[in-house]
Amino acid sequence: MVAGYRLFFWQIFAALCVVALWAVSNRLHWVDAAILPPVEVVAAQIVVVVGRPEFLAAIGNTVFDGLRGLIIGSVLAIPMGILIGMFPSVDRSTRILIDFGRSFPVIALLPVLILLLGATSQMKVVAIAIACFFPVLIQTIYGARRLDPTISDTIRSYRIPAHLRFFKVLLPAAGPYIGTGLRIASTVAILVSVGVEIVSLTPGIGREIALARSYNETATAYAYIFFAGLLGVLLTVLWDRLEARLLGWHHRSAVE
Amino acid sequence: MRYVLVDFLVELARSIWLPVCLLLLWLVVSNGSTSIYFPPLADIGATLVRELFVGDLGRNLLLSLYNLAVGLVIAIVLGVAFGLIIGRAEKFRRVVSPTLNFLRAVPPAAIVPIIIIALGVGAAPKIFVIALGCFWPILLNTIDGVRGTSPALLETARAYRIPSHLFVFRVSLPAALPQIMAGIRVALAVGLVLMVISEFFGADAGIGFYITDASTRFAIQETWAGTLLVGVMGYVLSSLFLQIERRLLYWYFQDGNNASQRQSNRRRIKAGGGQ
Repeated sequence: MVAGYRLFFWQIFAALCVVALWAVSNRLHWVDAAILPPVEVVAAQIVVVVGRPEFLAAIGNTVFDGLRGLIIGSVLAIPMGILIGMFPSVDRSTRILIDFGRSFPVIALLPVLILLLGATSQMKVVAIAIACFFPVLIQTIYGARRLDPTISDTIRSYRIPAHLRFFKVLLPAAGPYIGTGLRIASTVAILVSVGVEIVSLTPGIGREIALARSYNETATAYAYIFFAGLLGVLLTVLWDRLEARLLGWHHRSAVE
Repeated sequence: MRYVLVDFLVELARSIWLPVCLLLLWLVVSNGSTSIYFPPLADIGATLVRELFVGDLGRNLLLSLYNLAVGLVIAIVLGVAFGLIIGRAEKFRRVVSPTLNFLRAVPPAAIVPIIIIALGVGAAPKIFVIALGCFWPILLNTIDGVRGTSPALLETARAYRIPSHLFVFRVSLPAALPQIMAGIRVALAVGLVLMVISEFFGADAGIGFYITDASTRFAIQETWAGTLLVGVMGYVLSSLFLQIERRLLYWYFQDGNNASQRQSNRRRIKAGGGQ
């Protein structure tokens, strides 16, 4: 067992090793500087970029549009998922459609979306919403489908009305699964957000990356990529906290 | 025997009636559509078939699939190899996990413009991008799979002093296989996205190029046809993969416990979604 602060020290060390490897490959010209600029230049750009006025706007745009898409997608997916999970016949008949939708790379839809809606942030939100819809839908269906037989028998014998069954039984039972779906979808939201921005140059981190690259400022592009990665890490930490707090009852009941 | 056939047909009808109805609805509603953006589905279908067999959509599709296949294979080989190593070395894993988690969180699409513009339009940079993006979910899932090996299995292997090469290939790898396959499934989705997006940037061939090229020429029918083809391809690939997974993991699904456990495993699938 590595003790707390020693583990932390080694973790920092491991990260530094990666940076050192980067520096060495710069010095020895293993990789073209157009692909991997010197590590110190990128580090300097990370600091410089934060001071720029477009930095906060870019992060804000990516996060805000990602969130809007996530909310729209989830609001549509959660009730639909529970309805599908409630009725096996609906489940059956929608399966092919859902499998088709989940395996569809939304990025491939971009040229069509741009033709229809233009390269606007509205178009970006639509793309994100479509991408977020499916993971949430699929997880919600799992949650609603896997209702404990004891519970479903109880509901039937007490003749619990449908609306109560929906809000008081199915929704909480599917809660942990919906949580998983939202978690996956929020990662998807950021990825699609950045991807759409890169392709369509709608405002956001992705646009800054693409623009920096086209001005031949690869180091600046890397600085923005660094922040995009940081955003992803932040999201993971946030979800870990949130799940621990909201779904505490779920883990507790799993232990019992 | 007749009943088997009838049962099969009834089951089939139950699962395909809705998609068929929606397709027919689209066909009917779009029929005679004069909107340039929503051409009639029949026309899109005709364009798709013509372009696929007469035009160069077929060639572009094969090129893209080749890039995807090579990139995915590289990612599987490297991801599983490193995953088996890191999964066994618990201390090492804990030390490198923040670094891995950061690298995994970087949107792979963000690197596309840099790599593609610097390395040019050939197949190599696209394969590199696909391999890089697919590597992370496979690596992290392999690590999780190896770590999830049942302690009883490990103790037994140790008690019998199973030599390490046998241990890796006969114990660790099969034990982690369900999780590895889950990782590859995520990677397939990631790879598909990267395949398309890498062809949006400097490219002169491939299905992604075909779609953007058609859309910049305002060839709406070709754009729709290419987009629908990508969707069909995604569906076919993931269905194919599901079949392979079933074959490879039949021993795993035989155990009723695992089938339900697998659902809860989903929550552990790293970098899920893949978009």
